[in-house]
Amino acid sequence: MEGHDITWVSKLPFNDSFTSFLQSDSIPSFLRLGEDGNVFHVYHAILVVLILTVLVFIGYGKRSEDLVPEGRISIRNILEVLVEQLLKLIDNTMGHEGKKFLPLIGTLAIFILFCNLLGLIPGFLPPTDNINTTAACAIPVFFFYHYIGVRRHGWRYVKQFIGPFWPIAPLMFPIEVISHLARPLSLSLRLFGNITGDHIILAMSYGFILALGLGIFVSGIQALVFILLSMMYMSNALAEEH
Amino acid sequence: MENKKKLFREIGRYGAIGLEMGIAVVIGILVGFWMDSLFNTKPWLTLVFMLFGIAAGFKGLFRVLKYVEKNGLTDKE
Repeated sequence: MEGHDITWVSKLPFNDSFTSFLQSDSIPSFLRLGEDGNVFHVYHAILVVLILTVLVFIGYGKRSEDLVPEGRISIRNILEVLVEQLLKLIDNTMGHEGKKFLPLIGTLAIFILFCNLLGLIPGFLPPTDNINTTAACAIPVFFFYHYIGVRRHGWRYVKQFIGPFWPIAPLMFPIEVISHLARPLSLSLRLFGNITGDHIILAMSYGFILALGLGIFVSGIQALVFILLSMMYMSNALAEEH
Repeated sequence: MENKKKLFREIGRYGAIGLEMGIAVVIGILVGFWMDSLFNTKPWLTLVFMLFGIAAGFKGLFRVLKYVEKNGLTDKE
């Protein structure tokens, strides 16, 4: 991706020293950054977090205990509509017990949505067009749904892995493990692939309002798909033993 | 509009199966390849784990079908 080294982040004062620190020997070899690698997606992800934090502070800074919403369109109202829609979606997909997972699912949804949308602004990259960012979103989901499964079912959760009866357990166990491992991988690869492709199309055809519309559409759909699948995995883990 | 939104949601949910099936096979082959080089049994473990991977892909499909059977093709509003 040749175009990637001309964004504003390469002009950051600490970029050079930080990149060469990540490439140096003080980092263990399996974590070390490659020769021509960069960490631009990390800066962009931090930027998204900062944008979201500022939005929340603007929206909720002053009168956070007001129950009555303001009469005009404000940042606070937009945020509340967003969270309300998310709650409705969670309620539809996971049932009433899904509400307590809003912190995780809502965070993922809003973070991924804003990451995807950041790529539509000229000069910015979507952080989600790097596999590390998407994997960082998918792996916590993987551990979390196993955690809630174990917490709900206790040791009986392991039963899901060994199939209906004991003799075929050696056969079922690798099958189950592989099908569970495929989940975080497919979650992260789907988001990464879609956003990379979308960003390339947008970069090739700037000025076409159609590509921008497509970009907004893909950004929303991919964020939606990510949280939908996460919710499906969670409700599968919570479901009763079949 | 509500109907259209639901349609996209469904497309997202069931369109996900394809990638999951493919990745399951890839994971199976990679695990088999790694274990082959570990135990020096080329090419048998690769083949066996590829079959496991294919089975895992269908297992994922089966799980989604079970979910559909329980919740209906579209969510109840």
